[in-house]
Amino acid sequence: MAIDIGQFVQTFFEESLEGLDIMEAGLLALPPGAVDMEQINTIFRAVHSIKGGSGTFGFQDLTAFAHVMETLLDRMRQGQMDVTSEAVNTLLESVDCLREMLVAARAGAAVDNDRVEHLRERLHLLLNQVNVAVSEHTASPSPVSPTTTPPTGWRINFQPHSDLMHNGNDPVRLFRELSTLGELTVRCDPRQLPHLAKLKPEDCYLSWELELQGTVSHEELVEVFAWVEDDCDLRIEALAKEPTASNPVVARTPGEEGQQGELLLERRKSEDRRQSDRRGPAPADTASIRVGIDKVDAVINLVGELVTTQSMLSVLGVDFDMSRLDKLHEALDQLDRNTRDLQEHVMRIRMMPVSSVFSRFPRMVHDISGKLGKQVELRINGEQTELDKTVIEKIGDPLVHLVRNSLDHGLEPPAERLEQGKPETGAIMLNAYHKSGSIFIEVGDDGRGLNRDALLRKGLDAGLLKPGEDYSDEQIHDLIFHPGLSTAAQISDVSGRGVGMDVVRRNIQDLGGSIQIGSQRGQGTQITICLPLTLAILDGQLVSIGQDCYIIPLLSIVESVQLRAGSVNRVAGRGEVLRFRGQHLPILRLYQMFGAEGAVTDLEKGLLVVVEADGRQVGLFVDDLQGQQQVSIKSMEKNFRRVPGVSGATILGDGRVGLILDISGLIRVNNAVT
Amino acid sequence: MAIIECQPDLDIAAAATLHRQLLDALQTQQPLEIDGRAVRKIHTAVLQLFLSLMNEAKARAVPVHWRNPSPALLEGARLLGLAEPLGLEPDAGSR
Repeated sequence: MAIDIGQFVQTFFEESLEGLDIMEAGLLALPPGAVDMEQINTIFRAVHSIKGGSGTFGFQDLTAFAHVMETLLDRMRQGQMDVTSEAVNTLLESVDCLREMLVAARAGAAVDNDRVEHLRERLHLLLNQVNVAVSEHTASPSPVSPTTTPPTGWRINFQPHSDLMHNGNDPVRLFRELSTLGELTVRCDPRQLPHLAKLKPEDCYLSWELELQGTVSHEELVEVFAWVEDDCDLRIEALAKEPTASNPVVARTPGEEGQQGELLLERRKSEDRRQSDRRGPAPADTASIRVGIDKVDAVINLVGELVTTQSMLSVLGVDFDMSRLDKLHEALDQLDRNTRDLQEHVMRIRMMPVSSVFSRFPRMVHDISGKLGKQVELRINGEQTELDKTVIEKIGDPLVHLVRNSLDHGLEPPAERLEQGKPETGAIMLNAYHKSGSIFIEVGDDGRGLNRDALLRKGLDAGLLKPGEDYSDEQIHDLIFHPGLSTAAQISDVSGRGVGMDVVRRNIQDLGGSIQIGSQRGQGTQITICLPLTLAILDGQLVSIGQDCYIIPLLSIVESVQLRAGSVNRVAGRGEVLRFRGQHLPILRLYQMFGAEGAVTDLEKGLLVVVEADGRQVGLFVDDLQGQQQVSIKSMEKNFRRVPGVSGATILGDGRVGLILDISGLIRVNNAVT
Repeated sequence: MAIIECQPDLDIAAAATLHRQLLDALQTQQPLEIDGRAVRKIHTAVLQLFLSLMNEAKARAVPVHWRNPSPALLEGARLLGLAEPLGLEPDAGSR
């Protein structure tokens, strides 16, 4: 796959070199003969990450070498191997060697293969000694028979950390995989599950006790949990009476159930403690960001200028007279400029390159294309484009959905592509760029494209389109975002799309963005997402309702109209509706919803602001429009509590609090009421 | 009766939206019906949401019924050991 992976390879190198430093420090602190599990686990995890990363980026030599080191360390942490000075020295030399290999890989230079080979042999030699030692141990007279009988099953205690699912892991998938290995019994422990209102949907609160019956090797089990190893507390115990070589017996009174082998991978409390030390005592959702020193320097420079301006103003303030008014204006202008620049630069600190999201795709495309038997080239552009950290965190899943759709439904299998005169290898394009104050992310493919006719038929059947009228391609393609259509099972078979696209659109809209689709039959599909640079500031329309001021996001406003007498009808079960541009528009009297006092209640005396969200329009009845301005968004949940129909609040210029309306939420509340 | 129609792809991406939907639906204090016929894929995050909804609904004495849970939905619930607590056991029917 020819992918431009420059940016995230760089991150991989940086992290791996940091990992090597950790390994080195750990090995140096490991006294021979000691059983410092905490230390060994740290070293193990570092090499494990390097191995995983180098595998992802295709550095086979690095992967192979790290694998041998990892195996050796795994034996150590299982207690199958003593920490000898010979082993520590060999590992230290291996760390040096790995570092050289990494540096060489980064520079695209050659490595000293002889040295690598020599070290690898030494590591293998150590491993062989361990194997001999283990077989001797198991062959010695013992109350239980050696490795010949595999266990008849396993008991697995699986306690995910709350962030397990953030990293793309899904227990459903794990358990499905387990169930293919043998007969699986699952007991769920829901005691940590909070009330619905307090639940964070992406956190994992459940834990499980599993029993797997069948002749399954321990390695197979470990393989299943390999990706979640760092994100859970895992304890695997054999159900059989007979322990195996990889299943050392823990000394317990014979005859007890406790004769069962007790296995590695148990995340020790000390380890958790260390993890929390490393991450600091802050709660899980206060994350940190890496900021380039140039950004910090820019802020410091600006603060310097601000100080200069301030001293200029101080000087002016002493013995001020009207002859120096021009100077004062000048200084105040400068202060204004400084403040704006400073704000802009501080915001930039929160900006991260979009590559941190894109980086998950090479691996994903590789895996899925393999499963689907398709040949795919992933082309990534603009991964240096920066956007707000919060947006970055929330855009991942919708993008995964879109890329998966392209892979699954967009791209044709190789044979079909050849038939159509296309190259056998399909392409998926990910592109990010800045344009006019927004970020654009494009997900494209050169697959079969949307089937306009099928979509048109579906739209007509569902009554979304009118027969005999002309519709633009854009209008037709837009149908795939319609919830009514995308839930129709057939659409994905007919058009190759439509699976949960309404959810993707809603997610994007929640971020204050928009999504558009372009497609040509047989040529491919391109989806363009437009996102605001930051979630902290919103372009809003201020409206008054009674004594209060509310803010409607400018993006969601279609138009504002003054109502004429008699233009509004009452429809049973739907409240008041206005016949508006060929459709019936539900009217929401905001003063009723929010219980505002002193508001205009006569429809002809106020204004109707027509807004759109999730493909539906409603009219919001307000007293008057006040003006448009950028408002900084404060969280309702953090400062008060969640209020349906309100997405946040802001402090207005006069010090009052203005509530920012959540249009999708208002529509949902209205639907629930009527 | 408030009806929640499940999307085909109940991925983790869908969880936040569904969470809001469930909260809003609960606030209506009306019996809930979850239509699961369209579900083709379901994530633990979503099943966990449903479990919390069931607990909450039970506490508020709001009845919750399943309508046509799809095979994918049932499989997901069974794999996580949640079929019974979610009222998705065959004999439990639409409780």
